[in-house]
Amino acid sequence: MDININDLRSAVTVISFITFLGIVWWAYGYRGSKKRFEEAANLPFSDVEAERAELGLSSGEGQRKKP
Amino acid sequence: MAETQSAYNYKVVRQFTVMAVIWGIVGMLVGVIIAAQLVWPDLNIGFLHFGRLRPLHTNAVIFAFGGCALMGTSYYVVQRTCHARLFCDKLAAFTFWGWQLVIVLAAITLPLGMTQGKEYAELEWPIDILIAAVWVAYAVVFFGTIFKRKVSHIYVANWFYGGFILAVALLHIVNSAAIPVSLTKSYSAYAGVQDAMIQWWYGHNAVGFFLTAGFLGMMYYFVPKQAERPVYSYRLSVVHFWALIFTYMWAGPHHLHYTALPDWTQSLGMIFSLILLAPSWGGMINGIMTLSGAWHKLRDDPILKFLITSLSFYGMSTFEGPMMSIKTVNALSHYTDWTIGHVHSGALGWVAMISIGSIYYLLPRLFGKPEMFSVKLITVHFWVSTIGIVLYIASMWISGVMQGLMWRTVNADGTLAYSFVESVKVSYPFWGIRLMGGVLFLSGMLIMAYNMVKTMAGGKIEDAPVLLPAGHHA
Repeated sequence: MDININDLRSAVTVISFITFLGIVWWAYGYRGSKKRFEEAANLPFSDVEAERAELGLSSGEGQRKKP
Repeated sequence: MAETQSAYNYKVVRQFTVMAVIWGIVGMLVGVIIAAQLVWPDLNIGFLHFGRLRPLHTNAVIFAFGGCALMGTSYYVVQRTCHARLFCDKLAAFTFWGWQLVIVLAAITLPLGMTQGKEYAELEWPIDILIAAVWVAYAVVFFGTIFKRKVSHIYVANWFYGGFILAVALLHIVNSAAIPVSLTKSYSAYAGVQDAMIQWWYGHNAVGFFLTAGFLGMMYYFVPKQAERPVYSYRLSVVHFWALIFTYMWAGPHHLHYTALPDWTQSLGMIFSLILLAPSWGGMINGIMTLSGAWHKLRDDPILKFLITSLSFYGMSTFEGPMMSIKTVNALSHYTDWTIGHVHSGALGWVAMISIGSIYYLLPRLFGKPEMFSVKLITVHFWVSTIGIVLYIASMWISGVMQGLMWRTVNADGTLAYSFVESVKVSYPFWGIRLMGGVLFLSGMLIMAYNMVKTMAGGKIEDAPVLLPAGHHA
């Protein structure tokens, strides 16, 4: 059996498609991901102090500590 | 070091954001000038003629305006969603100054006629090398910041920005490969139809990754923030990202329908362009539906008006694009003004409007103000630019379809019914309307610049503190 470059091209296409289906399953398929994604969606809202400081509402001095 | 570590690096964000507005005005002014040159050919003076100024216009609006908006917002978003200061201040400063140097060099060399002759990749090889250096530095700063993030998850906006940065590096380096014969002249490393295919693989993915993925990164941060609610479906955003990544790379051949490119390649390009409708509309729906249950906010928030209208134009042009990639439709639309109209519904409607909305969100925050100097002027800007876009794309649709129909009409004996110049003659009124649309859009940018300067005046330039990791669930 000879494997030439075109077989490789077909294989890459099929593997890519299966990978994509896997990603769809990962996003929608199993229950464990739901809470994780909800947390992720709220990431932009987690830095209230910086938000207030940049709008000039508070000086933000309280947060200026070394982590 | 400990003191600066506890604040975000807003300096480079400020620089890019302000320059985005300035380069936007410059690039759009050149656009208005070349639109006027088409109406009044006498305006083509010396070497400042349409042929020299058109690449200056496209480079300025895409890479100077769009590039500064993308780099500025990505630096802001990556810091705020990673809860980490930007990686390496010096390298970040280099990306700013390096990118401005690229823009200035483009503004000098293009009018002088120094060009590689590849659309959207005209700049000669020394500038190409500088672009590659700046871009690699940009990638190091961006991914370096992601690497030192204080939260476990990488927010979806960063995936889009990251995809855009990697893809553009790949596209630029491959398509710009050339053999220099002097400091200002080089020849493409590829020949014939391969050269054309590589050029449009680059060209369409410049649209797909520079003008789409990057700005989708903007959309996934600034739309939820301005609407004050998380994105409609985070799961959809994950699928949206990967669907876009897997399909966009294949759509390039639709720029080469009915050319020497093999037929099967043309058909492949057409089919992948049609498939692209799905991820594009998935993303648009995800953005617009973020407002679901809070539609009233759209009534009195002009920043949201910009953001949501940009998504409507995105939906419109990503429906029009796949349709135009169908070979039989392309036979009518290609080489006519319809293409110009399509590009501008994407460039003005989607790219410029989402950038303008995001910049209006950023400016007060970067200069320590609760809001822009005048919210009313944002509303004025919104309506002026929306009317401008509608005039622009409607006139180009009409003239484009008209040109396409005239060029294909044949007499009973098989000769062409119209000469080319006859189609030029009847296009004049529409070019006049297009010029009006362009002037309106440019006026909106001038209103924005005034509002920006007034907002900056007296603002305290203080960087927001980095969120302490202890206060976060991750």
